[in-house]
Amino acid sequence: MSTVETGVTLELDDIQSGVLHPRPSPYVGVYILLRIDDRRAGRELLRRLIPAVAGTASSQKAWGSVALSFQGLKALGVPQSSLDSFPLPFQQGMAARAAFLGDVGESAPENWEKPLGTPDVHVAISVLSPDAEGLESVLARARKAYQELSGISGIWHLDCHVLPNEKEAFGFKDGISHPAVEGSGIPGTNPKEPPFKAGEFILGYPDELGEVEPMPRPEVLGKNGSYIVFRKLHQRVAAFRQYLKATSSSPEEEELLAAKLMGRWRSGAPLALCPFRDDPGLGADPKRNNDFLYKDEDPKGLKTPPGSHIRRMNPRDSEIAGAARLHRMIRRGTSYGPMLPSGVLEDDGAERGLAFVFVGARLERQFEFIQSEWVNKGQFFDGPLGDKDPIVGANDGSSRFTIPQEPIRRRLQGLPAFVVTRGGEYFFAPGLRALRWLAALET
Amino acid sequence: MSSNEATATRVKRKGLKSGVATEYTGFFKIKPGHAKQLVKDILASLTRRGDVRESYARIGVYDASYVVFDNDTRLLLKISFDTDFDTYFDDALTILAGGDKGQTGGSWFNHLEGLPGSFDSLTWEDFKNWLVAQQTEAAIFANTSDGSVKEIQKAQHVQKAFQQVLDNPEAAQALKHPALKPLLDEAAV
Repeated sequence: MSTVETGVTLELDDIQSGVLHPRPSPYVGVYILLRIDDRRAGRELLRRLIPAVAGTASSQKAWGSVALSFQGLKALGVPQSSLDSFPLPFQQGMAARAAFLGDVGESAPENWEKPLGTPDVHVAISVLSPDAEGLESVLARARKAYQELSGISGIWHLDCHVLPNEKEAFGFKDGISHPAVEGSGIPGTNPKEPPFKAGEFILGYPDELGEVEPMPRPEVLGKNGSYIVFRKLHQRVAAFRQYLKATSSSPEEEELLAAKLMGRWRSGAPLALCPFRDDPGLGADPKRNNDFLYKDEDPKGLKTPPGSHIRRMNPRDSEIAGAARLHRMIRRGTSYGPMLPSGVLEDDGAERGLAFVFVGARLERQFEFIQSEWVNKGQFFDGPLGDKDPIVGANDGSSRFTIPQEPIRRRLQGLPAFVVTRGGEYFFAPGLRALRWLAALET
Repeated sequence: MSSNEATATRVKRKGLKSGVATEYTGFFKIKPGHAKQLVKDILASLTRRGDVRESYARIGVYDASYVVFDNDTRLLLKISFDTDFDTYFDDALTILAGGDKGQTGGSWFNHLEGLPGSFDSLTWEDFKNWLVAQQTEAAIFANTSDGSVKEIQKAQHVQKAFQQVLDNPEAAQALKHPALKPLLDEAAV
């Protein structure tokens, strides 16, 4: 079945471009967080930002996106009846959901980088572009919108940029998998994955259960909006390299182990298609590097371990507890910080990692489900209950990882945490009409 | 923090936990004269796609009892499962129904009093909320299994294989290898 679609039935000119478009590659980007100290200034901010926010129908290569936290909607003076119509997780915010998300210990909100996780985070602006010139042109407009406005405070920002060879900090090619969304005209990256109902990602359309998810009220506010999860994830690259080295007997074995943990070789080539050795040509080929399923070719995970990162995040057609298509997300990662130089095994103290962005219509059924059931448990694929994602799981030195292989499986013990949550928040990315509605509030 | 405490920040749901198992117990009123057809329809719904145990296993159901009592006026529905009610509710509907309410085999709920509209006309969310409204939390719930349904299935699979090994007399010699001591310890009976 092909994921390429021609029929466009979504209101693409109303849906923010950053919601449905895969991020460019290569890329530069920036995330900016603002606090609204005066609701009238907040509305003026939105009025000024709207021209910088492109609809999905736009052909712009660089685009800005704007999203609001629950506290941000409150600060804008959105009526209480409307605030109450937002789902509970969004109202509570990410910090309140920490235990459920596995953000404990070093990743717990009390250790987050301020102001992440505080009620001060109201507006998020992101700009993504294939080049610095495009970034600057959009960013200049966005900056002008808030820097000249009293009653709005810039409280945090994060610069992102593609790392050498388009890899993330652990050294893997990133940003490969993207689902097709019915009616968007934007093809997915897996020709074997049927397009998803638009309501899985955009509010106001039927979802995979055949229903239109209740939207925030009034309809003009909810329609064509999406929920956005933003997380700043610190990557312990030296610890990852040390673990690979300590657990392997040769550089080749290290690379195979890294691939087993991830489910792909560092080139992006999936174990599902080249289980024994890397194939950089395949990894670099967007037509082939995501063209696979698991059920028929690899039900036991002899190629791609069921507990590996990519098979957890997207089990495709694997036999699992539950229905995988209800838990698909649009995921967008952008790197921050410098690459740890090749071969270095000692931590240099630098902040580096991934700005993780989720896009979807259901925080609980999608992002929170994946975090609690797939990332931080193992029972969904009949793995041991306590086993977690080896790359991003809330591991604490007691976790294990099973590599199915014949004649007997290999089980690694004592996985440490390679990723630490530095903070994050839940946002709502309204459609452009909704942004205009918010800007025109008179409460 | 246990998953119970963790989910306390979500909508508060009833249902006791024992190990990894959770219980759902619901009491329903049966429409007068509908009891016989109710039981027939439940049975038809459970068997319409072959062995219901396969679907149950996919959504982590250990067992389900449907008890008609009080002179055919009431139904007790008691289910235990290894997943969280809210977390996997939509999955359960999708697996049992293919996402199509007409295909759930859930029309037997129309024999019960108080359903806010015909089964087919309800949204999944309304249906879930109605099920929860009929729920009575057990006073005591005990489940002896430490494993999820999938782990139990795997354990049974391994046990079957181990017994096949023991059926071969040469297994005695093979199991004396030090690496196989934990298996040898289980092999005498």
